[in-house]
Amino acid sequence: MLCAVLLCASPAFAQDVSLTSRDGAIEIEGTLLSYDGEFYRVDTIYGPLTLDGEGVTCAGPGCPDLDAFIAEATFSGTRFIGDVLLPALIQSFATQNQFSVTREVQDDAHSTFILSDAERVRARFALRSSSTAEGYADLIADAADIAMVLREPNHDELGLAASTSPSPLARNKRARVLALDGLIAMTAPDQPVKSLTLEELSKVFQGEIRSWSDLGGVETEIVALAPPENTGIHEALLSRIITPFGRGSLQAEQSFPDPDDLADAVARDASSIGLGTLSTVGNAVPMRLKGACGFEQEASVTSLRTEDYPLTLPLMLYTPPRRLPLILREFLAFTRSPAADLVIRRTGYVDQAITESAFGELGDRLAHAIANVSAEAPLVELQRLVETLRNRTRLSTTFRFESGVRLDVQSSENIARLAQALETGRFDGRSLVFVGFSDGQGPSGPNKELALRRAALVLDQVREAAGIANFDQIEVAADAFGEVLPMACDDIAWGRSLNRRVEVWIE
Amino acid sequence: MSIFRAGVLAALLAYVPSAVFSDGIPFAMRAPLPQVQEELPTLPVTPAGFDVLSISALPKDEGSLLPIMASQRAISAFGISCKEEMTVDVVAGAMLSVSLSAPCRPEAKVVISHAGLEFENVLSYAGLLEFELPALEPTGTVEAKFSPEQILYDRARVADLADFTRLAIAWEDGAPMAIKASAPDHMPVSIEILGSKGSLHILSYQDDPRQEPGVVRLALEREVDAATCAEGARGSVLKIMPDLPALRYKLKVAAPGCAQIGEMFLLKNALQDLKLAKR
Repeated sequence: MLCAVLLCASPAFAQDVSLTSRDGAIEIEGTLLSYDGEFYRVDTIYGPLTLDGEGVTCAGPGCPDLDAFIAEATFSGTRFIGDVLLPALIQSFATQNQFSVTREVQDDAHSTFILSDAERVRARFALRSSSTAEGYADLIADAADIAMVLREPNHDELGLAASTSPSPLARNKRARVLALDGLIAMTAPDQPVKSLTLEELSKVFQGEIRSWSDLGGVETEIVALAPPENTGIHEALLSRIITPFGRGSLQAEQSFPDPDDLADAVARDASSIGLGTLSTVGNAVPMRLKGACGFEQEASVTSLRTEDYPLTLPLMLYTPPRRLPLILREFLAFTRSPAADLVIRRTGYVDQAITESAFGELGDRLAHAIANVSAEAPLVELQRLVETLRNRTRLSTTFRFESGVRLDVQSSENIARLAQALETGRFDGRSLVFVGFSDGQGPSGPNKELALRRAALVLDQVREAAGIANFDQIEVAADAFGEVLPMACDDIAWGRSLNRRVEVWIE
Repeated sequence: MSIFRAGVLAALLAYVPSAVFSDGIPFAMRAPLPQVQEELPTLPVTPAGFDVLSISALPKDEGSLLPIMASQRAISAFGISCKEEMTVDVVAGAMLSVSLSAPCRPEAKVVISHAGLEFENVLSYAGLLEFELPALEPTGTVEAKFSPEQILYDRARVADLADFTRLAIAWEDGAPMAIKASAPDHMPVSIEILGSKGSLHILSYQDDPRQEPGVVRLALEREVDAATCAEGARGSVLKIMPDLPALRYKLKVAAPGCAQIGEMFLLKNALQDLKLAKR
């Protein structure tokens, strides 16, 4: 059927290649869109088609020189990935694969990495640093192969992409987490106020709190600095800091397109407060977020890995639903390797390596739980928790939910990471218990049931993803302790969101 | 009168004049040989095993004198041997102190290589060159190349190099850009510019485990002028960091364009900032 359709391709169509199957039975004419060293992508009257180079011969002026193929890829999107992280990962990938590297810098937003072996150039990776929206726009316009983004595509972008065929954006999740960052408020090192609530932060950037004395400091006017509008980071700050408190826009004395400039300005001026990310905090100091019940959350490697910090910001690569050149696929695989984790940490971001922490590190959390024992969180349940977990260590891999039982993007990545670790035998001979926790809203019985359901769901997803793991060698179970061990205050939405989680404890 | 007086004086001094002739012309008077044999002074004794070169001991064959004549020619205008040598020593701060002497190459160009990076320098009129170079690899090997066949080298092991983070750019073509570093007070960095054309730039920071965390912003900059506004630059970059493999790559920077004449051409993302995390 396909053969018949393809043979009917009109010769009048503007074509520069003619691909013929080895037996001569099929001939496809069209305009060559790309050749990735293995596959041809050709624009035909039926739309773009991808054909295995092994199965066809190419004729026509557009045919590539098969022996001189150079893989080309363009990354476009947020500067929070494009400025530092991706260049460092490309360099490390090249070193590991013994490619020599030439970096051509056009300007601060555009550069190209040329990877060569002893014989010739093998790949050219072009980088365009701008914003998440620009990244998706370039992907839709076929001006980029991979988008560097801080969020999934929004409704408008999906709609725009749907008008092209095939759509470069898919409704199923195609963004994969490259590294973690955290949205933070920052101050100069000599600013005595070190923490504030999320609501206070929101009010500062609404102009409702104007003096440091309203935050427990001295009587000095607050100078608020923020990233510019129409950037992914601005959108993230708006949706996670401003909007939860029912307000519409983010106001600042000054906006800085370059996050480094913003951090430097904050570090110089003790009266300033800035919004940014942990990776770009520079010589300023991140503020802790506090809740009314006394919990304080600090953005750190551990709290971002475990998503115990409420404003974790996953940095993602969005790949279109089409075949990518081999070397690019190899690069994407490299970004999940331990070598890449080291680069991510060295460049000031947080990797997703699975680490373990002892029961004793619960510290304040356990003390808080003991202090808040109640009918809803009875002592007997807390004692069972201690009995179950005291000889185990907690994995940094933690699962949180967007709503109901739908995992958030970082947790989806955690499923893949944990499954990979299980498949490689890292936990053979050990016992893993998936422990569900809930927030404290509502009666404890249903809360505990929901927590157990979530734990079982995560366990099922991990089992499914770890298809080749030997579960005869690994003991797995699901358990739940409801609301007895909160991470954050239940009187605020982000606190309840942190409390609804599935942790993994290992023995 | 004068004959009389001469005779009297001669008698008094028992002086017997005798004529000295040169080309048959009386030239001067000389004293007669002493009548009494004076005792000869004691000559110094040559220590055993010490050969004193005697002209009479030289071979009669003229060809065998060539080496000596050659060695007489290998002397600089300042009378110093033309022998070429280079010494490398390690000094404080993981620096290499390089001393090069080629007395018979006054003002010669020499290409210095270290850790795969090259830069050109010029000897003094006396054929001397001395400089300090932040070490970029632990063997401390330095080469000085006058031509592909004439290369001097020396090395000195740099034991404390692992305490340093260094970023070096050797500009090879075009208009070189300078490394611009903005560091907090507690993170002192130094930048050395080496070479007769200022083509090697090395930023150095000594790691201190007790140091507070911080970030040194790094950028590349140069002033744009009419002569070089259309010129880019090409160079080699080497970055060494404690506990990490060295990072090496080529860097090509586009021309700023002549619309920017008189301005600073600044690239803030061409180099990665130096981040020191909390230990």
